[in-house]
Amino acid sequence: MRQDEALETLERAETVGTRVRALGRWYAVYGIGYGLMSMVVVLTMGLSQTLRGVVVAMAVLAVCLTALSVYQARQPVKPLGYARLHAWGIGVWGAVYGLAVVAGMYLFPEDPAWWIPMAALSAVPTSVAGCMALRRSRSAV
Amino acid sequence: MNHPRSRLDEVIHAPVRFSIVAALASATEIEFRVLRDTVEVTDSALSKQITVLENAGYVQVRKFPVGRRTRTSLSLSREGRTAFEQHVLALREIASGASVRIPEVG
Repeated sequence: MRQDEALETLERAETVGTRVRALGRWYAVYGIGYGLMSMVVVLTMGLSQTLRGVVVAMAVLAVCLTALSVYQARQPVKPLGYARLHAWGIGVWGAVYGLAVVAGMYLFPEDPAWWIPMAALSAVPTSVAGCMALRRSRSAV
Repeated sequence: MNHPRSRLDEVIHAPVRFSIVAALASATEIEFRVLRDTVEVTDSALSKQITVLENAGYVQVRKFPVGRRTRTSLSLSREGRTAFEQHVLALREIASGASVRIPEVG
């Protein structure tokens, strides 16, 4: 193989890789969407503190989770490092969400000073995972 | 001197297979139809090359039902990823001309 042939082959790999990586950007939409859903659910649940508020929050959670799961399942390309990134995002979100809801219900009922920052914090993990996938989709391997 | 050409992987070296592996190396998993469009080959040509890569242990094939249809997803195995990385390293060496010996004068 000659030098120019090797260069041409490497360029082909880069072109194909760029095309594939761009198809993995959907995970940013998923991650940020998941974060926004979490923020709305935590705020609705925490600031209303009524049975109706909890029911509305759970309905929003169910509808959004279904929509996000369908969106995720329909994607033909799973970005590089997808399993680890997804597990990390959902795992950290679960911990933050659990802390926000359990501690908030018992210690800070209807206290905006707890629920608003915790709602914002619960949006961070999956949004960070989404942004990381977006950054990876733009960089060469 | 060990020329990097000797480190090129025979299975990956073929142009279509190289494009397939390069595409798979850029993702965790890709659906068959998307890979076909990315590499710009026919279904049968892609199937044939995938079989070669699968037999070499470089590619993993996963079939799953979506409604009434069955979809096929492809991913690179650990061996496939390592082989691709080594192949690319050899290519980079050839492209940089690092393996070219300059004859000494005198």
